[in-house]
Amino acid sequence: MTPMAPEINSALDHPDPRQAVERVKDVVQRRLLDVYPTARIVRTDFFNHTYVPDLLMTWSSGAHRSERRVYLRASGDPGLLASDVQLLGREQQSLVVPLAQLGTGPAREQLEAVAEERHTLVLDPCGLGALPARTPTRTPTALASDAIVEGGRGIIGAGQVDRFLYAVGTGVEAAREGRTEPTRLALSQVSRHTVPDVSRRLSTLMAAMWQGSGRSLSGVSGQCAPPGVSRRDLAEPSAGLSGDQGCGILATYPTARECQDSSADRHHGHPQSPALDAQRGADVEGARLHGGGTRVGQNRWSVALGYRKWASWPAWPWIRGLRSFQS
Amino acid sequence: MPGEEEHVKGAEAVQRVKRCLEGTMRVSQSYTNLEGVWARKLTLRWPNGNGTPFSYDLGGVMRGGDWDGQMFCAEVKWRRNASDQGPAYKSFLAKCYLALSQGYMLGDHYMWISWAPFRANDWDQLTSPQAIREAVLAESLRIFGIEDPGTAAESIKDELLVDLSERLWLVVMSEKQEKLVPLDDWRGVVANFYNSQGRSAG
Repeated sequence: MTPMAPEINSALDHPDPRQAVERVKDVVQRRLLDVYPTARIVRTDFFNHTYVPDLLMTWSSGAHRSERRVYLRASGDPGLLASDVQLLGREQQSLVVPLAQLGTGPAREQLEAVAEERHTLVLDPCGLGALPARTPTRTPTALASDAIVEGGRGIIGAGQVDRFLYAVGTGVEAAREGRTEPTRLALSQVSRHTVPDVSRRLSTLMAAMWQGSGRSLSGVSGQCAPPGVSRRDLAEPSAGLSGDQGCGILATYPTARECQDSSADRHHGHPQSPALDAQRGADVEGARLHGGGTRVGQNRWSVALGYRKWASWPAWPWIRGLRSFQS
Repeated sequence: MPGEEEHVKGAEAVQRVKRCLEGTMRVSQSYTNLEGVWARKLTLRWPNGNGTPFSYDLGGVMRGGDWDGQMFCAEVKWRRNASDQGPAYKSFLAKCYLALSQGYMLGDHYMWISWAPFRANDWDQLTSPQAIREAVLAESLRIFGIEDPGTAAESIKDELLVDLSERLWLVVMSEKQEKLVPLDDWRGVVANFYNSQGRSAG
C-alpha cells in the first residue's frame, strides 16, 4: 500500500494553482507508471476539465494499441462525479481519479452504477495507492492489477482493490485445481469490475486453467458464466484470439494432471516442478496478451503468446511443441 | 432567494458556469470553492475589522488567444431578476479592489456571472473606476481600517481603479444560451485533438 492522500495533498498545497496542478499530475503519473510501467503517459494542459482529460495513457498489447483517458477531479463529491462521468463516452473507458476521498451515502451508489454503465473506473487516492507496483514476476495478482488499470470499471477504493486482487489470485489457483466456488467468485468479481474485453480475457484464462485441470467447462461455464462472457467464450477460449492478433506462437503444455501422472515426464522432456511453474507463468502471460488458450486433446491445452513478449519470457525453455500460427 | 434553496441552487449554478466556460474550450483549468484545498486558494480576508474571510465561487486558468495562461476568479449569482445584486455587486467590487491591491494570484480577470441583469439604467457604468471608488469607500473600514470617507478616499489608488476596471467582466447567463453551445460529440472532437497534442497542446 502506497499512501497517496498525503502526497496528493502536499502537491496541491502549493500556493500557485498552476504549480499545484503540475505537481499533482506528477504524483498521479508517477504512481500509474509504478503500477503499469509499460504505459506511455502524456499530459494535457487541462485540469479538472469536463471534456478533456488530464492525462492520456497508452500501451501496446501485441499489435494492438490501447488507451485510457485519465480525468483528475478536484472533488470527491459522488454526486458531482456522477454528473461528470455521465458525460464520458463508454468507448473511452475513462479512468477518473478524484483527488479527495470519495464521499459516502446514496450518491456514491449512484456514482457506482453510472461508472459501471459508462465503463469508467473511479479510482480514489486509496485505491490508487492500493494497486501493487509492477514486479518482474507475472503472478495472477499482477494480472488482476493490470486488469484494473486497463479496464476496471465502477468505484474501486482500497478495499475493492484488495478484494479484487485476492479473488482473482485465488480464482486462478482454484481454476487450476478445479475448485468451483473460488473460481465462480473470481468470475463474478471480474465481470462486475472490468469492462467486457478485459472480463472476457480473464474469464478465458480461468476457463483454460479449468480445462487444464482435466475438468469439463460445463462445471464453471454452465452455471456462472458472467454477463459479458458468453458460454462460447468459455467453451471455446480460442475465440478470444481472433481478430487483431496476427502472427503469434502457439505453445502446447502438459496439464497439471499430466505432469503429476509422470514425475519424469520423459515424453515432454522437462522436469515436473519447473514445468508447473512455467505453465502458471505462461497461462498468465498468454492470457494477458491475447485472451486465452485452446484445448488440445483430453490432457493438453495451449496458450497463445505474443511473440514480442515471448522473447522476454523467462520460462520459455520449458515449453515444448511450439509452432507458428496465423489467427 | 434566501436560505437553503439559495445554497443548493448556488452550488448548482457554479457547476453550470464551470461547464459552460469549459465548453468554450478557452478555460483549461477550473475549480470551485466547494472543493477542499481549492477553497483555500479562492479565499481572502478583509485586512481590518475582525479579518473575516470571503471567497470567490470559481477560479481557473484561461487558454488561447490574448488571455492564454491568465487566471480568473468569479462570483456566481443564481438570480431570476435583479434581486439583491445591486448591493452584492458593490461589495464584490470592493473585494476585487482589495484582491488586486494584494496581487491576488487568480486576479487577472474578475468575473461577475449572473442569470439576470441589474442596475440596468447605469449598466455601462458598472465597471467604471468611479463605480469601484464608491464601492471601496463603502468598505473603507474593512479595507483601510478608516471610517471617515474623506480620509479613506486619500488611501484609494487611482491606478488600481483603472486597472481593475479593465479586468472586470459582467456576464449574464441565459438558460437557453447554455444549451446553444457545441454538442458533446463536437467537443469530443476538439478534446481528441488536444489529446493527440499531449503536452505540446497550446
